[in-house]
Amino acid sequence: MDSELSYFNISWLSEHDGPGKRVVLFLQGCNLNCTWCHSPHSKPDASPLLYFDSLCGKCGACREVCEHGVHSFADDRHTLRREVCAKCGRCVEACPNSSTVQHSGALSLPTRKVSVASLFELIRPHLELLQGEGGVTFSGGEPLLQYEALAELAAMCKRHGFHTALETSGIAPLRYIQKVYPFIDTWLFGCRLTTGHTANAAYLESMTRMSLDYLTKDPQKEIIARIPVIPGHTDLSIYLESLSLLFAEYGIGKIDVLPYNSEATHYYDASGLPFHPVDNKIDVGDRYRYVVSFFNKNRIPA
Amino acid sequence: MKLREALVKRGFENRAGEWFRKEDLPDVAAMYPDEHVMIRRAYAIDEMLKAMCDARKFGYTHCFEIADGDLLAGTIPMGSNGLGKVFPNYLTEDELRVGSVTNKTEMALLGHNTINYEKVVHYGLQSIIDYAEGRIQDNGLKRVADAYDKTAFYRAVVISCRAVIDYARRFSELALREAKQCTDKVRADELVKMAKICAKVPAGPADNFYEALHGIWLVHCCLHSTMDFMSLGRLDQVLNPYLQKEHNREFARELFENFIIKAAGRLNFSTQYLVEQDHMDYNAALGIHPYYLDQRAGLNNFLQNIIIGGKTPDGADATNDCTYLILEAFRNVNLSTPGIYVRLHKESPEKLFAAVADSIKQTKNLPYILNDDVMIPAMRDALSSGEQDDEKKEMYRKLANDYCVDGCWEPILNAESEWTFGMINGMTILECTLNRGAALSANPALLRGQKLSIDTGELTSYPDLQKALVAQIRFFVDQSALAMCLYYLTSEFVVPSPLVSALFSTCLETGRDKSWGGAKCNLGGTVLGGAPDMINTVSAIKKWVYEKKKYSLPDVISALRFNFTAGDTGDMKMQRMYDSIKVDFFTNSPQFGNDIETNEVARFILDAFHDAVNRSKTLADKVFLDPAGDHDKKIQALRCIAGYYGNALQTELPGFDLKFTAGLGTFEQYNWQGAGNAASAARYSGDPLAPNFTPTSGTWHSNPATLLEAFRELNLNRFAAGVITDICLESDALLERIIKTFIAKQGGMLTVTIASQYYQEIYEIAKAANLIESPAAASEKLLKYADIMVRVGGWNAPFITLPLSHMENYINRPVSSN
Repeated sequence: MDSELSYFNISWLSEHDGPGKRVVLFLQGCNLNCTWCHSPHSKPDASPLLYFDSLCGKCGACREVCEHGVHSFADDRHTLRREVCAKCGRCVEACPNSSTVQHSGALSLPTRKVSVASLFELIRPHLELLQGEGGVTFSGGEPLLQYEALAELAAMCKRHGFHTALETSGIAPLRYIQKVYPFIDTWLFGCRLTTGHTANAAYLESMTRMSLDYLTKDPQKEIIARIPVIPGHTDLSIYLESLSLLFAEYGIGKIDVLPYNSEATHYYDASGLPFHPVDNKIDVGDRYRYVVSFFNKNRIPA
Repeated sequence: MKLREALVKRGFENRAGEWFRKEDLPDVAAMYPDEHVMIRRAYAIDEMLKAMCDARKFGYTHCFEIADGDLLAGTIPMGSNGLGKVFPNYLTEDELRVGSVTNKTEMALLGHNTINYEKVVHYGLQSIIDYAEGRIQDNGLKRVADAYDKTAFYRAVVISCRAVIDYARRFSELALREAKQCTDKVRADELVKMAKICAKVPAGPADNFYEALHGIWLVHCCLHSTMDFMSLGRLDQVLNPYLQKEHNREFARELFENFIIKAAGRLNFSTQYLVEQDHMDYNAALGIHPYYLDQRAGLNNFLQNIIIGGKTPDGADATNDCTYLILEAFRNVNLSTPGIYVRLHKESPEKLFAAVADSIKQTKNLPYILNDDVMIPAMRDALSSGEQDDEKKEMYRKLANDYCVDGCWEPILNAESEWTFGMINGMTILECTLNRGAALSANPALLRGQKLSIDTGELTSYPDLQKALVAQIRFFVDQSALAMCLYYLTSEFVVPSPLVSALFSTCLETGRDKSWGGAKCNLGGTVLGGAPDMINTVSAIKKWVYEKKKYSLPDVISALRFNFTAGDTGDMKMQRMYDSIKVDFFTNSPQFGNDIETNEVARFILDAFHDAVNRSKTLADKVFLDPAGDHDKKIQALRCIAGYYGNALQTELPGFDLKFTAGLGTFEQYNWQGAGNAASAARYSGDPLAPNFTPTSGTWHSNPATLLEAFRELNLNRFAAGVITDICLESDALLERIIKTFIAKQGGMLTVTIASQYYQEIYEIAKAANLIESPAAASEKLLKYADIMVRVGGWNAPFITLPLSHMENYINRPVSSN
């Protein structure tokens, strides 16, 4: 039987997710619960129904076809009761501003489960277009959760000469990493190490170390640390200092410091989930510069 | 650059007064009523070229002037593919009256070809005159046996070539006069030099780059002034030997920039004065039907392209120093005309790929790209299909390697093929498929709809639909392609081209005009428009009617016919169904360019179309070409059914063949063609069709990778009449990779426009200007956008000059890289 992969989005051209120009495949499912996550719909087995208010024409076509009463309209406001949603997709199909083919628009059920072979056929033309200038990045969610099928896909990519990268928190059983390891050129390591105040800090650290022990064995494999700047979390000196020590210990010399995503609420709103944004008095640009300078001071280019 | 500024400035003014007035030109038919039409046509060429140098009578045309700084003498009078042309009448009253049946007058002249500029610069026109006079005197006239009046042909060649030499001489005299009055020593020297060059070329051979380019310019000028809107061909191949001898490369590049600006001299940048410049008549015909052009869209189309790069006839890479020089000149000048195409192939130098990408980044749209790896095999196979003779096959191989494109993008053989073509509308074909041979008209007086073709029956399954579609495609292809044979011989008696024939293929050797079998090869293209819309609509029907069975076909047909509107019926249930069909056909169906699922349907349609053209060729040969039919009553009966009562074409013209080619595209006609069609997938009734072989505007959601992948699967290397894709990218981030992947994945032809952020803004200004503003106020606002060029199906045009409907279409085009 063909293995299947579940994903919720593909970006055809990203210049921030690995070396050069990347196709980024966002795989469904995550084992962490980062409060700053900007893809909350990636966490469950399948995304909830996404709704983007600015794209809605308020025509009511969704309400007419829904058998569960998910959609209601009052005072030109479209309200959704996702708790009764069966994810049947009829509302998406009926919506004139949504596409069941493009998985985009006012309403969407973005999670797709497809065979590895067909997913490869989908991304192959795009990777051929990027040949020599980049490659594919497997992201998520946590892509390692689908390690078996992912290893097949990554192997196919390598057989065709495409550069591969994988973005992971490193918080996963070692056998997951081992399975995909031969087919990944660059590891984008998410460093969920610890922010110093989480209950399971020791567990996270031991998992991280276990992963790095394995990943740093082969000097040919590139490891790039990825640090999103989340004020109050990843800009704390205790966190940055422990990271510095860790990087020194494992010889990690490349860091991508990622600016705080000011659009982070986007998918919370679309998924109907609450979000606790950072204090809006904080200058996020300033915190970004602080983190970059911290690493530079420690002679790590960021 | 001063010349360029002056050109743009003039283009914003009212140019109506610059047009020749036909009533002021002599009536050549009245002057020479008893001469052969060929001779009258030649005299008309002479009269036109004389009029252009008659500053006293026709000073208002500004044709006999040399602008300050101009290094190339000679000016083409106003005229364009959209606005028409002006030329002295040379047809008798009887010819004009009978011509009404086939819509042929002097305006029917097709252009759409290239001439042999190598011959012009190497030998000069005087040698052609000498040759023609020799043929009149010796027995050469009898060497090729056919029914043609060869004396008239050679006399016409002599008259028209002399007319060109005289035209150049008049400019030589003018330049000399101006030099004498010129106080600026540098300019006076330039004028003296021009005077010398115009006295020398194109009468005699050129000895250096300046002479060669000037000779070409003068001939181009004369052709375009005398109805023949001929293209320029592979100028890098013609000019490179002269460039190699030229020590001052910068001067050579400046000359070429001057050449581009001169060739663009007829541009209109303002659209406020077009009605008074409309000189089109009903005879701008392809084939025999009045051809209603989208004149506004063709306003600045002059059917003049330059082709660079590619392969030599022997198959080696042809890129040379002049390839880069011409590319640089185009990049510097960045005007919408002439068109510049670069031929690329897998073995083209990396430097050329880089220069092309760099030029597109700079100019946002130049040059356009032809894929040799697709077009050469397409042309070679079309020529040598059924050919057994190895020598001929070898000749076809070389001719195919030397292909170029004419004034839009129709592939032709470089100065060796006469070309004609017919266009068919794929969406009309599909309507007839769905509706038993009738268009999906909403007019109740027409009952089922306007009957256009055969009844292919009700469609109860997808295989039914496929079968009917094949039959309909065959019907429309037969109708278009067979007519090219049927009417092949009419042109010669209305629009012979002695000047072109003097410089074209084997016309001189055979003593035949190009419209009478004079060329080495004759190509008849059938070009299918709206293929992407056909693909989208068949894919949607397949999914929703035959696979998911959500709707019945009659319901879908009804929704398309009535543009998804139940209208006055008040039938809410029906309206809800139409709404649902619309949503599924607009947003929930796979679309060409985005979804690989459409490739199967695309392949089916392209296979059926290509096969239909081949079938037509077999029938055309039997009925119209093969002399055996002259003695076969059945074949004679078939000819009579077509309305043809003569001998086979090969009886009239021994050795003649009309090769059929198939192509995919619309040129600028996508708005025009769609205007008559019912709704379809992702298209409302009357909306434009897809431009050329490009995903329909507004339906393309991802970067071009999926489209390029489709090309690889569609075997485009069989479409010798061309297959072109016009993409508009939001950014140039992937430009070089797109070009290389296009070549590697066997795309046919490509134009790229890097989108401007100002499309919407210009559209708003143009819309307001149409309604309320004075021409001057609108011009002032639009002036700063004059350099934004876009592709209009067959050529480039300044965005500000587009009709509003084309602007709307363009606003939806930009494709994101993501």
